[in-house]
Order: sequence, then structure tokens, then C-alpha cells
Amino acid sequence: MKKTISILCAASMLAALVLPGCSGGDAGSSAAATSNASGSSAAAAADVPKFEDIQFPDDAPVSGITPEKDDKRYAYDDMSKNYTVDIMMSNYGTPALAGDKDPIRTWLEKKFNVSIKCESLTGDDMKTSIATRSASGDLPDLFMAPDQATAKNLYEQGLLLDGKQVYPYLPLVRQYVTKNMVKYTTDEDGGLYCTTNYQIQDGVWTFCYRQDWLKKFNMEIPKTEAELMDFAKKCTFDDPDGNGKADTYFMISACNGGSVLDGMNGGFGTMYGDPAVHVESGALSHPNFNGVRKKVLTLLHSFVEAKVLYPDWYTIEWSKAQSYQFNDKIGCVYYPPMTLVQQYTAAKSHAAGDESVWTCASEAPIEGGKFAANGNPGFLWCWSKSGFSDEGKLKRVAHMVDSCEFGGDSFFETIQNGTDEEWKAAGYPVETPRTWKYNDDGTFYFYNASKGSPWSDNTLMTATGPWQQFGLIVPFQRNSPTGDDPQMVKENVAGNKLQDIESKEARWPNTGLLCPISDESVSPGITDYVNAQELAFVTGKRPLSEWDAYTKEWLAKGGKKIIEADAKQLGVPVPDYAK
Amino acid sequence: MARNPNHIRLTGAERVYQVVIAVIVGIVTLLCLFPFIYVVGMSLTSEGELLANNYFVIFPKHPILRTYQLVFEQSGIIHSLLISVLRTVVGPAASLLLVVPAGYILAKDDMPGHRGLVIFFVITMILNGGLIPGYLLINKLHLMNTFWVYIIPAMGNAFNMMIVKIFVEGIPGDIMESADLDGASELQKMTRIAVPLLVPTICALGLFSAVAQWNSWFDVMLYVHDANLYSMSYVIKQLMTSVNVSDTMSSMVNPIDRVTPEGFKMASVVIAVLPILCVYPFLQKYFIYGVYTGSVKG
Repeated sequence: MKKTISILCAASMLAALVLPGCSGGDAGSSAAATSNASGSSAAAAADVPKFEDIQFPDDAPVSGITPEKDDKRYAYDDMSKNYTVDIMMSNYGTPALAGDKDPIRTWLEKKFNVSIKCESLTGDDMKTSIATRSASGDLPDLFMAPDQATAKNLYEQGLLLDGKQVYPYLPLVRQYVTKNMVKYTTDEDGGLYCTTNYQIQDGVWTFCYRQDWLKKFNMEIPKTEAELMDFAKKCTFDDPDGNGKADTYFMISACNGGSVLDGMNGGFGTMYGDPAVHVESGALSHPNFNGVRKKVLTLLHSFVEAKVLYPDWYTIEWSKAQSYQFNDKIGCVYYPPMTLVQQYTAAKSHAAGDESVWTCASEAPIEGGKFAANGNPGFLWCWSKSGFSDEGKLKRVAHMVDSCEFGGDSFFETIQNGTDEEWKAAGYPVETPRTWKYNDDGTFYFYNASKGSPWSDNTLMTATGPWQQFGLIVPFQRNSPTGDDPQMVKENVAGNKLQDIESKEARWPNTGLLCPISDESVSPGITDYVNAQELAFVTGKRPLSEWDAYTKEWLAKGGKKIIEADAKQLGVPVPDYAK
Repeated sequence: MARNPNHIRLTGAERVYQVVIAVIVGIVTLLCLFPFIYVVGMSLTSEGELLANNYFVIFPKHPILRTYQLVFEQSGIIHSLLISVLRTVVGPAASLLLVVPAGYILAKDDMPGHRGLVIFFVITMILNGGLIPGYLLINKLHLMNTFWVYIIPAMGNAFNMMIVKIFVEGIPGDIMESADLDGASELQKMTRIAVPLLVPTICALGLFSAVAQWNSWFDVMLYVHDANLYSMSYVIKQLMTSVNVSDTMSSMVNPIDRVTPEGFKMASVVIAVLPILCVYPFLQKYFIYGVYTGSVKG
């Protein structure tokens, strides 16, 4: 009897364990939920295009697109249910503010009926955190991929949504996402591992020259290599600051010990041809073999030979280089001109006349040269599958992200630390107002006096800065030409003028996006070898006459694999020199 | 003056030896001190002086305190300092409350399962679950984003338990036997005999734990997302690794004593290190106590 009861108990326990796993107990409710979801999706789908029907632009817009008023743009999101979303972004040195102390987060939560958990980390910390959290099954819902490889890996592990599911809900974002940007974020199987957007500082860099030194030398802005070298020598040897000391230089480079084309030397990389691996006349064109790289290194070598670069040009880091730049020791920088005017005048306590110190030109300083391609992808936004299993949440968050784009309802509220109203609503005193507006030419003003609270509190500004990573685009930004401070107005006008000049530069097409394979991923260790050899060429330790020998070495050390990978990616045959 | 009869006269070779040792120790001391002196010097140097000296200044001619003022003007720094102080006080205290009794118990050979327990703890010293299991455990224990994530995982340090165990085993058995004869319980033996004799050990363990808690930032980065719980080491670490400090510094308005990003970072380092430097000398003296004089009853 006891044995029978024991057997019965064991059997019933076994059944209790097994049966719930087999039952379709939720099938009825799931079916109802699915049909409801399908029904609402079907109704909303009418406003949302299929990914295959989306027309991405061929080229990046040269100015902002101010959208027409459309109340149905976000009809797919009924805004009824509150969602909690976990967002991770990179920060500017200060972690995100806690709780309701962040006025921008508070504003977004109220406007979009969401509860936001926001975390901002610096680069390496973000990599570690994402790797740990992904392995632990605790990925943030929406996060910025630290690099392309991370996004691709996570997607291939099945942890991320396909971007094809997201772009239909981003009507403003996709106006700026070019076809090449989409290809850049597409894997071999055609899956989009992330969504992207324009880069914050896309295509704003140019060569800026000391206008006062040009006048002193009775020169115009250099437009040929000979003129550039002449200017370089005068900057270094003709005592332009008149202090009797030989302490001025043409450029400071700030390569930070990496590649000779890092830092401000990067501007020269595009002067002798398209610097990216691309296809010409059906054949692969690689800068190591089409003469482009050699010419760039020859130019840098001539600067080193002429001793016109700052002695520590290769090792000095960016922040130290800026000190020399703002203390009138450098004649030419490769820098965003509007930012240069802002920073220089601030460093000089806004003294009258300093806004005219720097100038730039649309033409390249080398004959036939062009500037770097624009239309580069900005941050790579990954949408986790676990975070967006609820399509309603996906629509809500996509709605929120899209509204932060240029022309969107949240653009001014999220860029450059937001608006007065947000800070006041969060309980912060606002001593000086801000003004902002869209201009008819596709630019926008964001007038910021940077005086008084909260704008002068560096911690608050850097802590709330990450929100602009959704939508800020500096090439479209201009400073307000009106205001109460005459000197500030002059500085704004000067910065705007230089930015307008810079926007007219001739640029290479963005062919690099079609071949996003990094050399290091194909041949680990080759970057260090290339950096060392190029430094040797530039400093003269290795003569440039050995260039052909160097390319053979490069092929042997892994360059052959790189060429093969590039050729496969671009769909062209492997060149003879790499066979 | 009469010569001290106990004075030992050194031979020539011994004198040379002493001089050589002094020189070597002096060089090593300078090598250890120089980075710290350089950091302090950089933190007190203005941009103008750095530029004039090619960014290498050890003792500034015109020191400034602006960098320190800037660091303390960072809105979250005082709060993060309080968090750091709290975890540096609570963490070691909690750890010692667990580790000392555990070590005392492990020293009892006659406890059932003693050998198995010792092996168990030794294994945890050698093998570690790793980052992912640790993250999962913290998550499942609902410690994420709480202050206790700084305290609880660090409480059970098997290595410290072993140290306490070894020191307790070193206490002469006669002392414990005499306590038994006097009718003391195990708790009384631990609190009235073992712990007083272990004061230098406990102070050493507490000091190491305090330094670890003060410097720890990785756990903050991984487990804490609430800025109200960030420790100062993490806040300073973020400042140090940010590339945007230079933009902040270059936009400062006073050109005369404008600071550099490097100076700002160095000031942050000094502020982070100074509290521990101040406390350490006072705790070091516990290592030189004589502990066994007059403790054994005849």
C-alpha cells in the first residue's frame, strides 16, 4: 500500500513538472494578443512603409531638411502606454545625472510617456559593460555600439533587432541615411545590425590659417604646394609673433604617437587622391599602390626636412597641442573653423579683434586636392531583441529618437544641453536665456551666451551633453548674428562666415563606406607595422625610394589578405600585384 | 664625552656596505617619490608656465590653486567623496566582522568538517567564477544599483580568513587552555583573548580593505547606474579618460592662470590619493606591537 502511494505521488509530481511545459495554456490568450497586435499593426502599417520601399538618399544632404508639419508622421504610436527603456550612451567625462536632476531626461519622459534609465560611459568602459551585460543576458534596450565589430557580433549572436524593423519608424532619420551608410551597416547575409544617422561633426574640418600672419607675410591663403611650403617656412623662421624667439611653427600635428596621418595631419591624407580603397574602371584602387599614400608621405617628409613642424609633432597629444594653438604659436591647424573661433576667442577672454585671427578657404592647399568625404555614419544605435520584444515599445522609442533629429519636435530640447524651459521645469535657476531657430537655408541658430547658471556649470553641461548624440549636426549649426553682446555677435558672424566657406569645399565621394573592412581585423598587427614604416619614411630614416620594396613587405606581412578581402567586398578581381 | 661601551665599531667594509645600501635605498625612494612629486607639481602649474617649459615642470615658480578649485566645483564630486568615505568605513568593518570570527573558527582543528571547510575556502581563493557569473549573481541578488553592492560581495574574503586563521593558530595553546580552565566560552575566548592579540593583523587587513574600497571603480562601472551612488574614484576616472576635458579647459576665461587638462587631471589624482596617504601612517604603527608579553599565566 505504502509502495503504491509512493508511486502515485511520484507520478503526480512528474506530471506536475512535465505538463505545464507541454501545455498551450497561453495559446488562447496569445492568439488573441497576437491578433490584436496584428490588427493594430495592420492599421498602423498604412502609415509605415516597408523597408524595401524606403528611398534612402544617394548623397548626404548639404543642408538640413525642415520637414513639413505632419500630424500623422507618428500615427503608428498611440502614446497610451508607459514604457520603461534602458539607454546606454557615451559620455563627455561626466556620468549622467541621477533621477529627476536631468532636465532633458525628465522632459523626454513627460513628452513621450516613458521611464528612462540612462547610463553614459566612456569608450573602453562601454565596451566592457556591453560585453558583460550581453553575456549575462542583460543588454540595455537601446545602446550605442562602441564600434562596428561589436554591433555586428551582437547581431550575429541573435541579440539585436534587424535595422530593417526599425527604419520604417524613423521617418526623419532616414532622410540623412545614405544608401552607402545602409550598406556600411549591412552584414554578409543582408541583415542590418544597427541603425545610424549623420555624424555630429561630419565634413566640418578644414585647414585654418592665421590671418594676421598671412598679412604680415603679405601672402594669400596657400592654394598650391609651393605656396604652402613658403607659408610654412615663414611661420617657423620669420618670427611672426615678433617676440624675438624662434618659438612659432607652421603646424603642431598632434599625432599622439599613432599614425603620421592622425591628428591635424589627417587633412593632408586626402590631398592627392581618394584616400579610401575603391573601384576605378572595374579594378581595385588601393592608396598604397595608386600613388596617393606615397605622395602624402612625401609632403610630410618635406615638412619634417624643412623643420616647420613642432619638434614633438608626432608624439604630442591633442590637448597639449591646443595649448600652443591658443597661445599664438601655430600658423595652421586642421580644425572645424566655427569651433576654432569659439574656442580661440574664449581662450583670449573675448578680446576685440581676436575673432578675425583665423581664416580658411574653400580651395585645398594642394593643387587638385579635395577634402574628406562627408556622409559618414554617426553613432551606431543597437536595438536589443530582448528590450523591444514589445512592438509598442519599439514604436515609442523610435518615435522619441526620431523626434530628436534635425527638424523634429525634440531637436532643440536635446542638443547642446537643451532649452531654458527644461531647466526651469527641473528646478534649476536660469540666469541667461537661450534662443534657437531654424533658418530658411537649412541651418539653425542656437544662441548660447554660456554665462550664468546653469550654462556655466561645466558638470551639468557635460552630464547632459550625451542627449545630443541622437540629433546634433554641427555642419548645419550657425551662431546667432544678433544679441546683446556686440563682441559675441562679431565672433558669431566670424564663425558663421568661416563655416559657410568650409561648406563649399570639394570632397571625395564616400567610397570608403562600401569597403568598411578594417586592415587590423584581416591581418592583426599590421597597423603597428604600417605606422612604424610610415614614420620612418616621413622622418627620413627610410628613403621614399624604397616605397616599392615597402609595398612588397606590406603584402607579405598580411597586405595580400587585405587586398583579397577588399576585392571580395567590392566585387572586383584581385589585382595582379596581390596574387 | 665618554664613549658608549656598547657602541659597535664598524669595519671599513661594513661602512662601505652601509653607504652603498643607503645610496640604493635613496635612489629607489626617489624613483618612487618622483612620479608623485611630478603629479603634485603639474597640478599646481598654470598653462603659461607649462608652455614656457615645454610641458615639463616639477616645482612651479608661480603655483596656482585654480585646478583644485575647479575639481571641487564639479557638482558631483563632494557627494561622490561622501560615498567613497562611507564605503571605506562600512566595507572594512563589515568584512572584518565576518572574516575574524570565520578565521577563528577555521583555526579549530577539532571542529567537525574542518578540513573540508578549509579546502573549500582555499579553492575559492584560487578559482574565481569570473566576470559574467559575478554579474549574474549580483543581478539575481538584487544588489544592482544599491550601496550594498560595494559592501556585501567584498565581505567574504577567503584570503583574509586564512590570514586570521594562521595568526590564531599561532597563539600559544597554553593561553587558550588557561581560558578554558577559567570557564571562558568560545565567544569570550575569541573576543577577550584572540582579538586583542590579533589587533595588528586586524588593522592590516582593515587597511588593505579600506584602500581597496577607496580605489575601487570597476564595480561602480559595472553594477551601478545611479549617479547618486558613484564613488569619487569612478568620477575622477571618468574625468581622466575623457577626451573632452581639453575643450572644457580651453574655454576657460582667465588666460593668466588658465589650467591645462593635464593639470586638472593631476589635481584629481592628488585629491583621490590624499586621504589614504593621510590615514596610512597612523595605522602602520600597529605592526610593531609586542603581543605576547605577560599573556601566559604561570
